[in-house]
Amino acid sequence: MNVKIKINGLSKQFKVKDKNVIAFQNINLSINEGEFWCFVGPSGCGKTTLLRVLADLEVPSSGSLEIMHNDINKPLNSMIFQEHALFPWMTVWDNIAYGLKNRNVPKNEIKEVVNDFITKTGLNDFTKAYPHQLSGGMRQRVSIAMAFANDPEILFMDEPFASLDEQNRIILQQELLQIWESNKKTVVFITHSIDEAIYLSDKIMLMTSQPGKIKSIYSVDVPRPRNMTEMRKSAYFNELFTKIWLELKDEVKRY
Amino acid sequence: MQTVDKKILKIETRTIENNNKRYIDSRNSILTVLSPLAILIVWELIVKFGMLDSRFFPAPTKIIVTMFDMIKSGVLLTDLKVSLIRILGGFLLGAIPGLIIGLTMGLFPIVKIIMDPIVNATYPIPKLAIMPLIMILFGLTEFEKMVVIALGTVFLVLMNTVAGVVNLDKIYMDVAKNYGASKKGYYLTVALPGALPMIFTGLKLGMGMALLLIVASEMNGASQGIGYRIWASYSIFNIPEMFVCFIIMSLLGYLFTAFLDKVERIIIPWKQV
Repeated sequence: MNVKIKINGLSKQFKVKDKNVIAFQNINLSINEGEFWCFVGPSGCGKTTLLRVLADLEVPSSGSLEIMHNDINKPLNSMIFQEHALFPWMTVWDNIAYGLKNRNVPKNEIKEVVNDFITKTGLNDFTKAYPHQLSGGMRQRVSIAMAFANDPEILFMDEPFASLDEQNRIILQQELLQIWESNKKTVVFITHSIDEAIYLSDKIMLMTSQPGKIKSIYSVDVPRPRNMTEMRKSAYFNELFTKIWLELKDEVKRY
Repeated sequence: MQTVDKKILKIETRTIENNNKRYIDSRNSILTVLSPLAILIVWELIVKFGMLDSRFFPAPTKIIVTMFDMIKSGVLLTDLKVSLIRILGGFLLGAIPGLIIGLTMGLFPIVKIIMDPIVNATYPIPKLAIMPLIMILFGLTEFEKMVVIALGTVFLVLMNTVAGVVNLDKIYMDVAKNYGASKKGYYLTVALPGALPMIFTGLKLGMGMALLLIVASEMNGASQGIGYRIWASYSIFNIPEMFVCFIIMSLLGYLFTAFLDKVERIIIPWKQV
């Protein structure tokens, strides 16, 4: 498998009132093409900052970062932000088409792609609605469609389901996997939820509390397509959950 | 064994009365009409009974009669037309540069750094204090009156536009960058629409200021206009005519606000009410 993202000794520090705050420190990681990664860690461990550095929204303080860009005609990455990241002044349709419009994709092609993802995310009845008219779950469906429609090589997701209620979260996790399994982009997904990480990912990177370092890396060896209910019943899921929680618990308490 | 002693202490009954939304709505709309009407009736009565000096507070019926006289003689409509042109001309003369300068300041930090001290130094100068200077510069012309109004409008539109662009949530910048927006694309599809609600706040405040300044600017060197009429009526002690002008001003304010509200709803359909 080809390496997609190679991180070497990456660190980031901020200055807050003359004090140096280390967001994350000495991260070394290789992410292969088509893998689904979850970064899990206690609040304030710098996982969001790490993601923003990977997405080129912030610059690291030291270390190096290599991301392979295979097709220069496609965007390298698209980010799905937490919430309130849709443009309130654009309709659902225009939000989803935003990335494509910026790249001057031909109009009929935009139409085709956007309509395709609107159908896949079940937004057909809401194309002309504005974000404030939608529920939280619907808004995140728009965000997912917006990112997939942009057709990037890598998807970064910053706790996209954190503000949803549990029932909607489960449904959106399933929908996300369905869409993802049909095109297998490289994904880095940030979450607090161990459940979510196990259900979604191939690899889980556990981070220590501040300053964020890699604590351990787990593989989730469950074939796809995955069935959430079956997975939850399995001993494997529970064992992995317990292992991760016991490790994470110390970090949460330490902070 | 336990015995549970159950006693009914109180039965709460909630009768649903007046809970009908339609009832409340119609009651409220009746009340909105009734309250000013009540004041007018009381006003009329206490003037009629001589408890209020009718020289200073002419009875509402007297004001209405005066208004019809003014309409018949054509004075009122001419005044209205002249003032409207001045207000609208002055408003546009202030709002358009305010919008353009405000957007540039909001989008380009260097422009804001250069302009901020100039804006901050000139804004607090009362517009009425500069009026004599404007009269010297532009003479007692229509344009001079528009400039006075424009000066009041420009700052309000400008400062609100800057605030609208600068205070735009940072996440929109992240999304725009991440989704490959060009600089121009960012200005047109993010910064401008994002600032629109604040721009409209500025326009509404500017319109209010324009109504305020029209009266002042028509005080000198005018022979027509609602503001002029107020001063003219004052000098010949024609109080009912003054009151007619007050009503016209209040009506203008109401209509302009309603108009801007309507435009706002069309241009900003996504605004949460």
